[in-house]
Amino acid sequence: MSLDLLRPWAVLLLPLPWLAWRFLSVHGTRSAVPLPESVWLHLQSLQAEAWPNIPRTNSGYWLRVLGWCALVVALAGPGRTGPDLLLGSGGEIVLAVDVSASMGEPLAIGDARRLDLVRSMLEQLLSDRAGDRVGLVAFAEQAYLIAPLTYDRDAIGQILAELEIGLAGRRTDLGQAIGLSLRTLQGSDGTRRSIVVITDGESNSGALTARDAASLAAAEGITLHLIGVSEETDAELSKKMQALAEMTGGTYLPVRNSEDLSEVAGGLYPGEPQKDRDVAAVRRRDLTWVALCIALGALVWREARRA
Amino acid sequence: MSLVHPLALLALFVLLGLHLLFLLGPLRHSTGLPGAWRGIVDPALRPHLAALSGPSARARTALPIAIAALLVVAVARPVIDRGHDTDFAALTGRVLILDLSADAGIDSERIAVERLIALSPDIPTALVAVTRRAYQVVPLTTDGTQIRRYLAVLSPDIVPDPGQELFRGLIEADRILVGAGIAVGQSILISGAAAPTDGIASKSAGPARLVLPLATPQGWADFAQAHGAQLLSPDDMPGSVDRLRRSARTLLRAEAPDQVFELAPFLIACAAALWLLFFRRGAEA
Repeated sequence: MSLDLLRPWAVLLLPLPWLAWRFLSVHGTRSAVPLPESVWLHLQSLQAEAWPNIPRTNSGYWLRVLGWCALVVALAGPGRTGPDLLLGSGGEIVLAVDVSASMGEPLAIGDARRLDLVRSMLEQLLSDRAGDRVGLVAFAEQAYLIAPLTYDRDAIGQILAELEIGLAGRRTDLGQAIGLSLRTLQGSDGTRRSIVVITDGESNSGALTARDAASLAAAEGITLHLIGVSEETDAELSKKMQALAEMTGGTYLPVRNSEDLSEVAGGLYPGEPQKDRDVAAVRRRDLTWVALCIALGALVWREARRA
Repeated sequence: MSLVHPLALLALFVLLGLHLLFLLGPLRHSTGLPGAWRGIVDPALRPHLAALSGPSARARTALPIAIAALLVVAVARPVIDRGHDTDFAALTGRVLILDLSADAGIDSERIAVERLIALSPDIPTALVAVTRRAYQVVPLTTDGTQIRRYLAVLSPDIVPDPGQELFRGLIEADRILVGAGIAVGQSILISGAAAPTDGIASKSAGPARLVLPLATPQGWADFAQAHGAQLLSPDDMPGSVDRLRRSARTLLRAEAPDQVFELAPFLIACAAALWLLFFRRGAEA
């Protein structure tokens, strides 16, 4: 939270009272009672004699100045900018994470489990997707929608951390995972809809083939990105995955070690990382009322004094 | 056009009172002359001088009145809604906390949740189940189908650690709303059971808290008070939705400069122009 002024140029108006004093016509109070100047001065001296104990202060002048300064500050629009209001970016992503038994194995000797590496990669990806609605599907033999589309990336991160191997069976049904992700995105009003499937192997189960599911996604205008997590280079599998992704205009990113995995988050949506600041409306608490109340107080005080 | 702080206009009445007190007070009327003049002008001459100075005095009081009125209306902040249809990701959010204790009456709780979702399908809603612990069941979402799917399977029979530590649900709801950066949040604790008689009081400094007892309201008022919550009756569910929407609208008008066109600067500029007249030579004589 920081204080700022919407119209700082208004401060340039501060010297205006001097111009008013210099150029505006003389106030008409003296002529309200039409008396010769000599009589006027005499009456003033009588007044001074009648109330010798009244302190002769310049409070009237200072109240006018205080009020003027407060008005200039009010005109400048003081305020405090706070945490921004996050805006929807129109992006919608369903993360489909393979939780089959093989994801519990390390990617390479000494590495963490594949699922743990995937978690940290997805956390990185989520931090770049401010304003996107994100859903989460866990799949193996079965696919489950663990989290519906939400802007709450913290919640997705928390649910990701709680995913466990064996939650959805031991084998891998890629077709069902893409199908469920597709169904989650169907009917949503996102302008950029995509599915990110993270798996460590070929589809070896299920009735709906991955190819059919991908063609359904392509027909819906949904982009399919595939991330293959395996230390072995299987040219045939890579080719199949590549073909699936290309059907929908997506990308296939093979990951063979933890270093590759850390680069995936940046490579998945090249050119469109979204930080909180990029998709946020400024939230600002207006403090003009404080200055206005000071001006109002000065005015009331001045009038009370005159009365 | 609308006012962000309409209650500020009440200050006009205060100013009117002060005006009557200061400028048109009984002393002034009795003497017919302002301030010290009544002491030095012969009583026989006072009505004559008062008649001469009357119109000028009225003109002199009109200026502060005009400035004060402009300032008060500026404090009320008149704005014109720009009518932007902005998709705010974290403007409003609501967490529905379900009491899953053994005698909670899950069926009536389900109906209440269904009703709240039906009343406001556009408000992101999260589900939290609370027993001896609090679990986030569904994150903030507008996907009513998914909420209903989880709602259908939630029951006291499936919870691993039974209990009724409802304050944990309220704390979890605050955590969810704050973590998601929700600007106007609301958490509603729904329970078909009797109010718990013990537990840790947990006041909220952030999101509004509501307690919706479905069985007997007895004891819930004390519970609500201990947790800084308001008691909600089943009939007032639409009211709770209205309040959330109204708070969101007020926040947008007050704190989202892109959403409104401010009229206050023009009023302040007029007031400042009039204030300059106070600086004319002889203005204080």
